[in-house]
Amino acid sequence: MPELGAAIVGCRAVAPLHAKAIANVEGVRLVAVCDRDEEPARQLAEPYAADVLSDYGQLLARDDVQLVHIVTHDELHAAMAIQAAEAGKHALVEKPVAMTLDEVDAMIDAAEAAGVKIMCGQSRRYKPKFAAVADAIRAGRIGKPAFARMSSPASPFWTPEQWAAHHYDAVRGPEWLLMHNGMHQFDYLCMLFDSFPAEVYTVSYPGQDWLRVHEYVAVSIRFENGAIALSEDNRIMQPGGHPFHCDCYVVGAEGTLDAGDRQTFAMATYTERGLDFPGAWVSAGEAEAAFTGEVQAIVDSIREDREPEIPLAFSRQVLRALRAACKSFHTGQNEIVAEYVEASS
Amino acid sequence: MSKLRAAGISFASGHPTAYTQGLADHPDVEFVAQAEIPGETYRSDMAADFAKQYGVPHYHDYAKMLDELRPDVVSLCAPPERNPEVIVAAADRGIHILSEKPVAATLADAEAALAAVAAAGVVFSLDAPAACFSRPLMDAHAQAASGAIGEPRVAYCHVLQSKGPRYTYTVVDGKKIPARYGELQNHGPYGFLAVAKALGQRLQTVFARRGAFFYEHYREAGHEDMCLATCTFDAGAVANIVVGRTPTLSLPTTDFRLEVIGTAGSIMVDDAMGDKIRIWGPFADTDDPFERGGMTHQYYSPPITLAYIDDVVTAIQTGRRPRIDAADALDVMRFVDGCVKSSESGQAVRVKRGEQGRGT
Repeated sequence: MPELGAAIVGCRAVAPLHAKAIANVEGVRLVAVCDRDEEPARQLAEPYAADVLSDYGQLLARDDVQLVHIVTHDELHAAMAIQAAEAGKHALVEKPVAMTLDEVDAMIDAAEAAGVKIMCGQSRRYKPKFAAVADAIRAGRIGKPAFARMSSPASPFWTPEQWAAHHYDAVRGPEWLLMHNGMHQFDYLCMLFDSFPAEVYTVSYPGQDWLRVHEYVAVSIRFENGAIALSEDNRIMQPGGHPFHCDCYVVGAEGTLDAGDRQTFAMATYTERGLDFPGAWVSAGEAEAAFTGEVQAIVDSIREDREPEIPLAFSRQVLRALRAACKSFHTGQNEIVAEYVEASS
Repeated sequence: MSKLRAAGISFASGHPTAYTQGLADHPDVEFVAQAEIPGETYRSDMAADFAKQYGVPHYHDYAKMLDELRPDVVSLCAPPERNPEVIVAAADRGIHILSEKPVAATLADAEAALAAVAAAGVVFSLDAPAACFSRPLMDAHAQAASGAIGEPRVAYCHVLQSKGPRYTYTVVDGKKIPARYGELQNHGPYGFLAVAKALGQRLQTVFARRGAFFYEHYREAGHEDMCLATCTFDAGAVANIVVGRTPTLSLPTTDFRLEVIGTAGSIMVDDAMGDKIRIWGPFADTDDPFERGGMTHQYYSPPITLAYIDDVVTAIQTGRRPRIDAADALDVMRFVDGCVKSSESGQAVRVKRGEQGRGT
């Protein structure tokens, strides 16, 4: 099988992790990066001897690029993925997969028409710790899960300028947190429960006056299979003031699983066999492993010509629940996900 | 100072061997009688033995006991349906009250009973010491109130207890029947009070998802073994409270966790940390928290129960409010009632406040 040429468009944020992940996966090589700003692109390309471009059209025109990593602002994901598909390129799209259901539908259509793979990169799934949690659940270690709490890592506190660079042009509310961070929790919970959200209810904390984005958002979820869950995203804290990184707590019919980052152990299970610490490890390097996992997943789907591990149809269901959760905040109602329709539809 | 004269009323619900006995054994208390509520015969043999153990009379009618002995304070361990009549009877006689949770079976009954308490000006406290009287929780609440973490904004608490199905049945006349209430009423007060005291705010809205995931007899009775409650508070804080009875026998007794996040730091209390609370911030340079030792957070442990009893006795002696007062007890009912109504309607419930609201 010939080597796959990969490119990254959008060279800030987690782009270096994508580049490192590409280098970690056998049979794929970073050949080009693209950004309107030359400096971050140059810095990203240099260690890998990749070409630097500023025009996305030129990138898509290259014959040596088969896979495009779309690491741009959230609202550009769908359009750029569709452009990639129309140019015959596969695409790994940063989360959120898109901003609207219509956009995902267009992505699905574009991928099918071009015969290419498009996958949303949900790195949380591939973090070794959380992959192990999912493996433990699938193996039946704690029986059928009934309740789960997923809380997001508290990212470093952002300055007003950093926030401004990522603002949605939305009314003041929790949309940014839900769409940008919440998709990790929602995707992971859907995988964990093997079910999609049926109902969502959202509350948030508004935070600083200068910040349009709400600093904390919590979504109470009932899944189609009856399980209940709490998804939390949080950027309240100032530097040094937040111990809560990423918590995963699951209560099952035969035990309880606790895999928060704050513990010195990676994962604990309580079952009839007692307290156990299966697969304890330190979390250093988890981000690199996570991104490597998602790159491996789409590369495998390309090589084996099969549906990606996270199909777009799956991400669409996740997005629908997220959009319903955004709506819930504004209506103050428990929203039925199946009844959610886009305002423009 | 003369000793407070105390009596117990009913052994039919809750933990009389913790609270009534704790009151009876307090050095500032003279235990004078144990009484029954007519018609509530469950564990009356235990109550009789208890009276015998303390060498005090065992009354079959609590009202007769109240009239004849006029105790200063009573410890009430009755089913919630029977609490209001006893609370009103004691309050009307100027007698202070410790009551098992919840105050009543319905919010309306609780409001009426606690209105009588307010009118009489007696001390009322709720038997939920695990929510406030472990050393880590007392430290956490004190730190939050002192501004150590800035303005509290967000809280999470879970109170999950195993040992099912042992406590999901009640034995009546030798027969096992499903417990009268689900885990919301068993553990909801602990989770709610732990959060409300940390936030220092009053409940505003409740949204809840309940389910009977593990126990068939709970399902048949319409009880929940798990509940996820999403709350907002009057100064804008939000909190999620999870209570439940897990099925495994291996979850070590109770898994309790409280997290409070403020504008300048955060606090965590966790059974997994033993006798510690951890406080991060404000604006610390590292992730290293400072830890404070204290009593292990453990339900019904003698130190926690004694701290609770001592708080109520001191409140009666000094005229100050107990740490868990009537307003707290009523908010517990509002929380429980709100959870039930929310899960039935599928929507959030806004708490209505009357005379018994803030400040009572």
